[in-house]
Amino acid sequence: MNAHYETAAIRPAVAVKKKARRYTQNGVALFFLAPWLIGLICLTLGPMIASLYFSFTDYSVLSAPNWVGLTNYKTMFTSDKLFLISLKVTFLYVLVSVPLKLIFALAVAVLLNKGMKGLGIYRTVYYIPSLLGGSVAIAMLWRKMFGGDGLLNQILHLVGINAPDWVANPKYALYSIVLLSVWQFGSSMIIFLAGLKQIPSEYYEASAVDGASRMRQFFSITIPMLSPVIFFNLVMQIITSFQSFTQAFVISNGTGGPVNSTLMYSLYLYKKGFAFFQMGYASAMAWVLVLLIALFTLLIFRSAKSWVHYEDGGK
Amino acid sequence: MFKKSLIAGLSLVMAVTFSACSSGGKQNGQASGADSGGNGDKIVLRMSWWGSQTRHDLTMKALKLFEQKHPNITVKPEYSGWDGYFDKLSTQVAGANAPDVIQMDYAYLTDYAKRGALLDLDKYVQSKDLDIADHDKSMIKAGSVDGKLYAVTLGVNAPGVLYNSTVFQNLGIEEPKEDWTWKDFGDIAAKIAKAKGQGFYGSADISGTTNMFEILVRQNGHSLFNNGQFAATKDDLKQWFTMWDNLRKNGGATPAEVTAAATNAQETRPISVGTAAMDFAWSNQVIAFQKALKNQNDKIKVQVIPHSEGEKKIGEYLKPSMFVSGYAKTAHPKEVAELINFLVNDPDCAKILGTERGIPVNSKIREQLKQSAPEQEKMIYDFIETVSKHSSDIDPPYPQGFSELDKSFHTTSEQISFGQSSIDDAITQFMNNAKSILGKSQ
Repeated sequence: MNAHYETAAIRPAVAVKKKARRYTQNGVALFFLAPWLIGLICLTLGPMIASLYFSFTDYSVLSAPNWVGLTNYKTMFTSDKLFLISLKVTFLYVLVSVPLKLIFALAVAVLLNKGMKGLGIYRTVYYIPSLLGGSVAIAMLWRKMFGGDGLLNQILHLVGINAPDWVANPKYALYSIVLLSVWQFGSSMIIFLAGLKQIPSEYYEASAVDGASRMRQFFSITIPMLSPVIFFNLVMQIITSFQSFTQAFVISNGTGGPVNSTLMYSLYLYKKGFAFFQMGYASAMAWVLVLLIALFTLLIFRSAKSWVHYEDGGK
Repeated sequence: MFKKSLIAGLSLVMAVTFSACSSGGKQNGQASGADSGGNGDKIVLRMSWWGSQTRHDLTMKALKLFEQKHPNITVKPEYSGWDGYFDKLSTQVAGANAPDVIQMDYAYLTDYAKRGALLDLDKYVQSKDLDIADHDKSMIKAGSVDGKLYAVTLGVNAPGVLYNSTVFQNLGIEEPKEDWTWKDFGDIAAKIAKAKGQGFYGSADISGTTNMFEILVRQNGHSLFNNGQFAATKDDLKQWFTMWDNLRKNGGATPAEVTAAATNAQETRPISVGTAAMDFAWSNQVIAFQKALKNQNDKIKVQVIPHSEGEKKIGEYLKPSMFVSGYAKTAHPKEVAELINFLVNDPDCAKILGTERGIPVNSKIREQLKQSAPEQEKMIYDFIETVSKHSSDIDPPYPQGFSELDKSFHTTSEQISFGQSSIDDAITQFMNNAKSILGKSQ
């Protein structure tokens, strides 16, 4: 940086010309960034600032907000039992669904990496659930499939098992949503697959000569070499899982039931804001969620030093 | 040169996008205004309602007729089921782009009117755009808040027990009479379950439905709310939840899982899918239930909510099934009033809508319709007549915070039915919740 300024001082005329060119370049960049930039300001930044303000108010949506200071935040942690329940449900969901999904995605990626014929087709087929999975239609389908006399139970009935209603029983309802999330392993799988292809085959050949088993190769070569990709997937999945909404909303018919067993954080936030007319409280919940996600992401980044291996030493 | 055109282009992009950004605030006026500018003098009104497929079909037909009679107005329908309707409406009101004509519920009327979201209709009554001369006085009162008319009753109904009379006849069980009690109800429900065997239950478990619990509370001489606070006693709650708990044990009511699998939509109710013989509903829903019935040869009938033995007063009451309101910020208030007037006073429209939203509020229309009503609708007229003779007055609208309390009540019933909590513990917890929910919204 210093060097640049020195030359600029010595040869001002060139510098001015360079500066002008830089502006033009910035202009072009800005032009192409404009749609995104405007979207960010109008659709993300603006509402975020508004919601930060609302979080300190009592705002019923239909009438003007009333400043109440930190009351919303206090209520959340002191007297709102449903808030704690929704936290519990969400943590359980993240804790179960994220590892399961990653393991599943990795397993399929490893299988597909064996150099089989028609890889493109398989890759596409396995990716499809990720495209459809977030939709309302799939969640409705799930409700039907795992319902009391849904497809699953009819099959189980054929082999003589009388299974419960998986979505209407508080013991299992959340896990039927976990299953729906795991089923959408496609995007993680694609990233794993790309990561696997980056691992030089020499490592495997050398270790095979040394007599390493397949298992040993997987844990001593594949996992460490893949750890940056695992790290990336883990962070992304945790962030999206904390915000999970659609599936729980549709499967529980918007109630978070039975007995609040699927009352995800975002679902409760939505109910507070749009069904109970407490938009101020809902905004406060949204900001707590932002902090929670930031905290978890930070923790994972901290832990990364001990388990993520970069070939170039992470520089 | 390149730079100049670039900046010009950029600022154009910015200008277009920013104006798109900022149009949210005045969208309501603009949206309707733009429409009227676009197609000559055509005015576009948006109307929203909740209901079953039956209602959607009938209402669309009625709106077609309205468009024929008012060629300068087009009505854009926005319909959905009950679940989520008010979530959406509150969002639309907050975003200042609510529909011009809104189907409104008794439970939400005060909230919306007091917060200035609804059109004051008095002006249009005076200007004769809206005629309420033949409407029942009690229903005009029910649609008024602070002495101003905000909502016109679309129909009158009453709570009742719907039952599949074919199942009763096949099992040789006597159909319920008007003077039946909760004990009779329980006995009948258990008998049906026993006769039909596993997988079939006497009645849907509606222990989580707050407004049905309210009827028992009224029979006990209390009211559900008083001065915005929860006014039912622990004993009321205990009596209610214990009764349903016993019914679940002998098959009289659907078990927890079956109950949880059903939603508010008629198509999902146990009586419709053929796993129960009775359900609690509103008289205007008889037709929708009949249409949703799995076995179309079965006949749905309706009887009053069972009485309590030695009840302090009759719990049954007449209720405006739903209202129609205008949106306060509509660009075409006069046309809104015309549409409302059409929906409640036009004889041809009444013929189409029938009693699907309840018995018509206009006494002349009511007389006219009853003459030509098909058998099942006659039954509803008779039912409402019975109730109007033997009932007590409706309680004031539910206080702010009702929807949250309603959810808590529903959760309480689930905690008990899934065996997660004893009845006493669940009630104590609910009473605490009720206090904090309603205390907060005062």
